[in-house]
Amino acid sequence: MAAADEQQLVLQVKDGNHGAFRVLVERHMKQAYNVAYNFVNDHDEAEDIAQESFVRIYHAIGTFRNEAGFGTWLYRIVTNLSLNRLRQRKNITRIDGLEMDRFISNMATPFDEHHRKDTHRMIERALHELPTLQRAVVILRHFNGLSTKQVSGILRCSEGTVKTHLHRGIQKMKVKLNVVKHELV
Amino acid sequence: MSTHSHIQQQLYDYAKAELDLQAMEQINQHIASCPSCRQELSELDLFFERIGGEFPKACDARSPEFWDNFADSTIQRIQSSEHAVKKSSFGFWDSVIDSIFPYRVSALGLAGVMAVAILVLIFWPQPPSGKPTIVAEQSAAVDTSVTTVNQQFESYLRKSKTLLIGVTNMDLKNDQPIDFTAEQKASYELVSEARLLQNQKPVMMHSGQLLGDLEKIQIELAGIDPTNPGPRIEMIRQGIREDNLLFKIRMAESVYGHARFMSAKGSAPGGKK
Repeated sequence: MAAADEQQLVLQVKDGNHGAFRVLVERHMKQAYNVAYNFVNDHDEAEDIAQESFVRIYHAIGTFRNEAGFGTWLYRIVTNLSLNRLRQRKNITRIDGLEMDRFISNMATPFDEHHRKDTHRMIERALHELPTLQRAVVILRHFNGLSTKQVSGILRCSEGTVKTHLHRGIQKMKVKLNVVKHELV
Repeated sequence: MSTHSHIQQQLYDYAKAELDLQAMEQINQHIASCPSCRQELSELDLFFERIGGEFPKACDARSPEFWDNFADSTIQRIQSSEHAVKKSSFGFWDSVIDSIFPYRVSALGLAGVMAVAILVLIFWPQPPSGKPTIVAEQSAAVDTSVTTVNQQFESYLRKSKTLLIGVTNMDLKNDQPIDFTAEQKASYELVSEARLLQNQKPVMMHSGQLLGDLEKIQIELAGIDPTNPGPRIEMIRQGIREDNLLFKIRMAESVYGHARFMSAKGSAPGGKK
């Protein structure tokens, strides 16, 4: 489909076709939401960030050149807005108990609820203790399934840099999740 | 980078089977003789097992109705933002008019009458004086307007170039904290200038794309975390290099500099109009 069809939709949006814009929103809204949520760990904020991203895209569609694809552009905006939101919160590396309770209460856990809550808590904590770039790469590449090429376009770095940050981020998470026993330098 | 390091960084893609056949084969051969990479691969598998199947997608926590309404909510938000922009552009004058004329319709009507009166005065036929002053003045006014826009854009380019060169040359390797305050302030100001220039036709016709690229970089610079700017600066520098922005600025500067020269030459005594 996707690239040629999406290019066509973008051109239609540039011509003022609101229906085409709606199609783009409906195609990407869940992924945008997931990316935002993985950063901010709050459903209301994820919704706000996802919507704000689409609003910014709508206003800036005239300047879009489609070199890296609409999705890459969208997720770049989502990532930047999420990181800005985290900075505003001023608790980038820590998750307090109230936020974790809110996170856990939002999860549907029909099986072995206690175990799942513990595991999710550990995963979230490990993720949020990573340096900004490593966390961004792990969230985009691993938790949202974007390709190395897409992530490099979103973060405006080389594919090698993406792989390096992914490798280091996962190494650190493995330690924190007790997958390995030795501490990383 | 050593082969071993290179292989280790490929292990994620290898474990996900996202490499081409040649790369897969290369890693297979390496793993066969490298216990450390074999260990790393098994830890990666354990990592995937630990978190892979346990992390539900955040979007699944929302109801179908939420997603049915998401696009509508987004479009409403866009319409609200457009209304707010229109309102704020004339906010000051709206308040002046509201304070003088409580009834907006009357104020608009009066403004319309005044505008018609001014236009009549401007275009009312004048007795011939032998001097083509009005046409010359209108032509001069248009030239001045375009020249002013060009000068504004040239100034914007110069300031953007200074900012990008400063960012590109920043030393991020030492342990000293980076004071990014001045650059961030400059970025905010340049974003405002860029938005004003986007409404100017002479700029958009020739340099709209460059203006858009610069605005995006300046927005990113303005949004950097001042307490830890290093990682984002590095990402942005990569973007500046990949988009070749400094070269494009220099090219645009040479075009606008030439246009200004020609304009000045044309308006000099004895020059052609």
